[in-house]
Amino acid sequence: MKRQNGTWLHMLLRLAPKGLPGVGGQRDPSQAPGRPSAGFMRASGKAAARPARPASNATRIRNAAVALGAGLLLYFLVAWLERAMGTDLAAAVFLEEACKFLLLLGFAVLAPRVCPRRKKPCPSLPQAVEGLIWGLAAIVVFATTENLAYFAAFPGNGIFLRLFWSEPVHLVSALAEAGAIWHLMRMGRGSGGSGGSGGTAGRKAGASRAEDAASRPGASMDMVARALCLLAIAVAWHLAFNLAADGPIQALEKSGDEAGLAWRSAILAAFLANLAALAALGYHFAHRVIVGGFLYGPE
Amino acid sequence: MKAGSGGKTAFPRLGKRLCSEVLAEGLKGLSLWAALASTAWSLGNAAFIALAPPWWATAALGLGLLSLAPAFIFTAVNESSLTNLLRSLDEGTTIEAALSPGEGPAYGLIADRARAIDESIPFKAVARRRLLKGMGRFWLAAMAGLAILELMALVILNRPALAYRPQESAAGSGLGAVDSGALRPLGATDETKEGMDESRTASRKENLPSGGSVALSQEELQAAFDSLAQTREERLAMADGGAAPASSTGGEEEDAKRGTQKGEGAEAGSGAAGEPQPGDPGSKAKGRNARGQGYEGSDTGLPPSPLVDYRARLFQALTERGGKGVTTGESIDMAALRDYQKRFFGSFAMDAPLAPHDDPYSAMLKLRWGKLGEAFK
Repeated sequence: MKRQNGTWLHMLLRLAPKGLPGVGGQRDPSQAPGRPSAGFMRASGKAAARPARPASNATRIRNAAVALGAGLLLYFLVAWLERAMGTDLAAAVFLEEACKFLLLLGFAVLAPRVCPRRKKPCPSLPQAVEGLIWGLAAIVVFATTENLAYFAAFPGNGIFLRLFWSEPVHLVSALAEAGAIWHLMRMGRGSGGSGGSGGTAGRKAGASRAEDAASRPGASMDMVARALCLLAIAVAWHLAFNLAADGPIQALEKSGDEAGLAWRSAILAAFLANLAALAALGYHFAHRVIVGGFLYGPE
Repeated sequence: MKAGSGGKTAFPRLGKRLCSEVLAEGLKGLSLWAALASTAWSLGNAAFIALAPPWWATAALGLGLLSLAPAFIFTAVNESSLTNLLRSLDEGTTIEAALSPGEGPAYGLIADRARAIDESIPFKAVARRRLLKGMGRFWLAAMAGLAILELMALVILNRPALAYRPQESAAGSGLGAVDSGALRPLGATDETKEGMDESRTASRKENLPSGGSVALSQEELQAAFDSLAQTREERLAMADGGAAPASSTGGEEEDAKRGTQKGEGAEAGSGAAGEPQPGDPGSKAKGRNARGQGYEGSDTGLPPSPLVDYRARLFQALTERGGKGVTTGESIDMAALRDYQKRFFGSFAMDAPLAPHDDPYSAMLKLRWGKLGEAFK
């Protein structure tokens, strides 16, 4: 393996143009260890990567404030719409999920435009993914506000039961919607969006990949199907738990079961199902969206 | 390099390592949430102890803090940690070069080399990350918040506390507003109790002679006996479901009526009309509360103290059984006293006859079990 490595390095050094730093035994002392030299990157046709900088605290605080405000606004908007439209239980679920989807989409689309980077190192976390992450935080704020509003309307310690019922439902549906948005964005980038952010070579590569994607309409259809499937999961999950809370769970609570064994079992089973769905979708989001976006970008 | 088709990535092992890094970052975010939530909980409860807000303040604070936990998990993802892990696994940055956009002349060679490195990633060890690294100041803040909370609790409550607990909690009692005494002002209740104690003390003093002796006059004994007989008759009438005596007062009529209704199995109403009102001057003697207070304060002519009443009845019984020459001795035979007590209080035993009530469901079950037993036979 060492020999092979040496051969590779020798070959690459030969391919590299002369006179560049790091070539001919003169290593740039300011270069951080572990970073590829510019000559190496140019030889492979890549743009030179910059070291990743951790997000500053100011940026985090700004993002948190935006997420907080967006979550609060979303709650009051949904509450106002539900009151104005007089929606029933099922329609309220559709309205709520549509608003959450639009919020996440707004975060994903607007994040690169509001805070563009000068030059993006690669691999790096796409700003659309960062937007989705903070959009999920906004959904958490929305769920928190909803719980607090419910507590103000119906004060009592039963609110904690509702917390463990409703919060995972919101998170499951939000994660599914975030996955769907990521698929849609990948499809958009793949079909001729502003894909590359790594200079001319990247744009050329993006264009060539767009042609590639255009030549494969099946891939786009596949992404659309996945996105629709995830959206359906989000709505169906929320609807199922809302209907269950309104119907069978209440019936079990009012049944003649003195110990409430059936009711408690149903609540526990629902909580475990929520946790399982949350784990599955959380892993999907971490693996496909965050790591996938980090390594391969949106294309 | 493309992500690959059919859901397969170009560097699956690297993806798994990075995914575990993302999850570890989530745990770090959870640790941050725990520190910040502890701080907020401590400071919030310290403020609650000082300001004494309503009972729901603590619950609302806990609800908000618990609800916000997932946000910390999501937002803990850090690009720099992913990059650092990638560079520690791929020291030659071959994978990084392969992942960069654009394809140069050596791209194919680099891609092959990157795949080889990816295959060796499971055998590479990376430094174990510490969850609490960089969290010291947050946990220090949490400890400071806890110290402030305990200080406030010790100063104001004179005891350590981890949470603010108001004394009157409507949700914690599980009682309605009427039963929890919310309709009656607390001051009025205290005044009533104090008045009862004072009147009881005064009546005891009135009944005691100047020398403190417990000897009673014959008139007092006769009055006590008469009142005892009257009370006993009334109670027996109530237990039998009969009408209340004509000499009874309004409050006793109400009690008798309630007793009659219960005896007949009818469900009693809310009783709000008969409940004493705080501003009613005669409310002490009427209603449900007057019944439990026993003898004093009522306008039925009963002796003012149950103790005196009992003693009078004891002397009366002795006189009846043994004649006027019989008196109590110096020492009390406890067995005899217990016997007297048993017989005396036994006379107050009430049996409320209730109509036999068969539950139709139980009857049906008995019938079916009977039929089943016959079938087995």
